Amino acid sequence: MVHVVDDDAAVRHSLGLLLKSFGLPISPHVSAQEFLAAYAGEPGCLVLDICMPGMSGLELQQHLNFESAIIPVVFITGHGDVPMAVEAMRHGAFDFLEKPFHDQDLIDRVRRAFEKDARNRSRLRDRDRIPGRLESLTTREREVLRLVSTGKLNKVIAADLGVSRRTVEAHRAHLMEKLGVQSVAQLVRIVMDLKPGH
Amino acid sequence: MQVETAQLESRRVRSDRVEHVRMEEMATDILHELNQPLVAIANYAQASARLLATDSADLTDVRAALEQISAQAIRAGRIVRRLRTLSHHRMVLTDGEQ
Repeated sequence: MVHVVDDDAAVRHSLGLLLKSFGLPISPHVSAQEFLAAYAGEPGCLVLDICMPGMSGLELQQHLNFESAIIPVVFITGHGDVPMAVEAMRHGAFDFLEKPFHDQDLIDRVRRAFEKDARNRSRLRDRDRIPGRLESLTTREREVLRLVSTGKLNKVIAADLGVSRRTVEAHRAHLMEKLGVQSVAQLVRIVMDLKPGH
Repeated sequence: MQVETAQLESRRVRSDRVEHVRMEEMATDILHELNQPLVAIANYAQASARLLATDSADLTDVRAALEQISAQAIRAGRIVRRLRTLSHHRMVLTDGEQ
């Protein structure tokens, strides 16, 4: 779903028709407030006018950031709004487009924003699965995980735990499989993500 | 007497500057406003071309887009007329100074 927020009726309606002509489902909104009232966090992207009466596009972006919303924002700006566009990018906007624009430029950005949204969501899903996967580790595997994530080599871990190197390798293979990771870098990231809560 | 003239002169320069800034702000607003119908026209025209290129073109959409293109061109024309009035007003002001 492409959410379009623009206070100008003609711009909003024409943008909607343009996106529709590419076969994209759209949801138009007359103001930032109206979008906030309607949006429940569904996948998609947001095409947002930067300069609007009431809550501006930049203010809406800050609000979404504050709420940790992950929807990618493509700003559309009138000419002369470049400083505002720069500020929007600094606050994590996905991209911006100067009005008027070629349909291909719009659609390229919208498609890339969709891909970005899908990546964000899959990363969040992976992160949500980690606690359950950690539960499935044995005490020994958890110990090995902690030691591996500090960068210790298998032979050092083996000496620390008083087991053979082969045993450490087996634990390591098991825990990586249980956690669904392929590299030590991913393991380290999981352990680092855990730090604040544990 | 000379002091008075200088004061008058500096007051005149200041009010000219204020007027100038005000005019520029108005022109910026009007240009921003003029951009909106142009954006809509570009979008409607591109959408129409794309819709017509498909086999199952929805002609109701295309027709609505064409009607909007003319409505938006007329809207742009009205804004241009306002801009012209503004620049005429400005010319009168400048003439008055000479």
